[in-house]
Amino acid sequence: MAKKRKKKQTQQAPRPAQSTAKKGEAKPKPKKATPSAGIKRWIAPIALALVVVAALITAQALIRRNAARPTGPWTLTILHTTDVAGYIDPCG
Amino acid sequence: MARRATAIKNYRAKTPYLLVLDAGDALFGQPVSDISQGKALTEAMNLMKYNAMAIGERDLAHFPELLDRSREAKFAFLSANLVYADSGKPVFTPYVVQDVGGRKVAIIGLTPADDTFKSFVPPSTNITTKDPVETAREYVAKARADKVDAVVILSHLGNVMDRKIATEVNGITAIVGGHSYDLLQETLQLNNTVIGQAGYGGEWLGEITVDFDAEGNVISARAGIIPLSEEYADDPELAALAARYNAALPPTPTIQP
Repeated sequence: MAKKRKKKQTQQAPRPAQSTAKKGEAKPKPKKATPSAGIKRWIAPIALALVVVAALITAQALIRRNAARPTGPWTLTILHTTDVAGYIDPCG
Repeated sequence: MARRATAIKNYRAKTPYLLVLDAGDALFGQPVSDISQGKALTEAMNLMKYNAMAIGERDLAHFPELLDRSREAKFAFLSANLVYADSGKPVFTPYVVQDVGGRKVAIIGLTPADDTFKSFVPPSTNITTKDPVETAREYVAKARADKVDAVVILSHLGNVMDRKIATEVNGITAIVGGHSYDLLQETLQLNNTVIGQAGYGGEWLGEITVDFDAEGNVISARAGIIPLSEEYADDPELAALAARYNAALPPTPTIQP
């Protein structure tokens, strides 16, 4: 029974499609349009855009920091204590 | 303490370039501070907006409670040469770079590495000290690489060691000292480093002023002492804090005749 079924299957196998292309004219194999190929195409531009944005943010932060940093002469005052040894009163 | 708070407030109104520092052995030593495990002083220093404190050997006698206080403090607990004996890692923050009115000031803490350390700190704590001079040299170089405007050493080493560090390590703007109970009323300057120390017990407030030119060079420096006399009224907030902690003390036993 199994042998019969196998034979039937081979008989029912589809015939290869007749090629209309002439000999020597190899048709280029069309690339499959997969979803991952679409994503890959955008990775490089997105990465580049992110790098540019990060560079702009860093530059802006540096400019702001330098702008906020005062220039010119200045005087540092330090007030200090030492060996207070737990006194909260009456000293000082 | 309440007078000190008033004096500090007066200075804050006068200058944006103000640092308030303590050179160590601050938190413990009296019943009121010991019963509160250093909380009374930590809270007071928070209210006075201290920037940083060095770690002294008497503070370390209360290790590891001291670590809890360092978490509660709004100011930095600093020691660059205090490390765990097994790992070599710093126990506290070695140094900080703080924004002082837009200027960058590095503050480096140092703890005594002599016999006083051993006498106060039990060996079970697994902490030890590195050589303070070499540590100062290492961290001053790091701070200068950070392009800071000034470098301050917050030292609990005593005046002899402060002089040695000022002489042997270049690039230090000021050394705020402690440990040796010196009341330095006159300016002491060595190798372009001004050194100050404000006695003991919180009776005085030390004052160091350093003038910089537009290029960041030190053009002059002064150090002195402000006696906290009656001229300074008690700050109500600090007076209330002191009263609250004093009220929590157990009554002093009276001796019947």
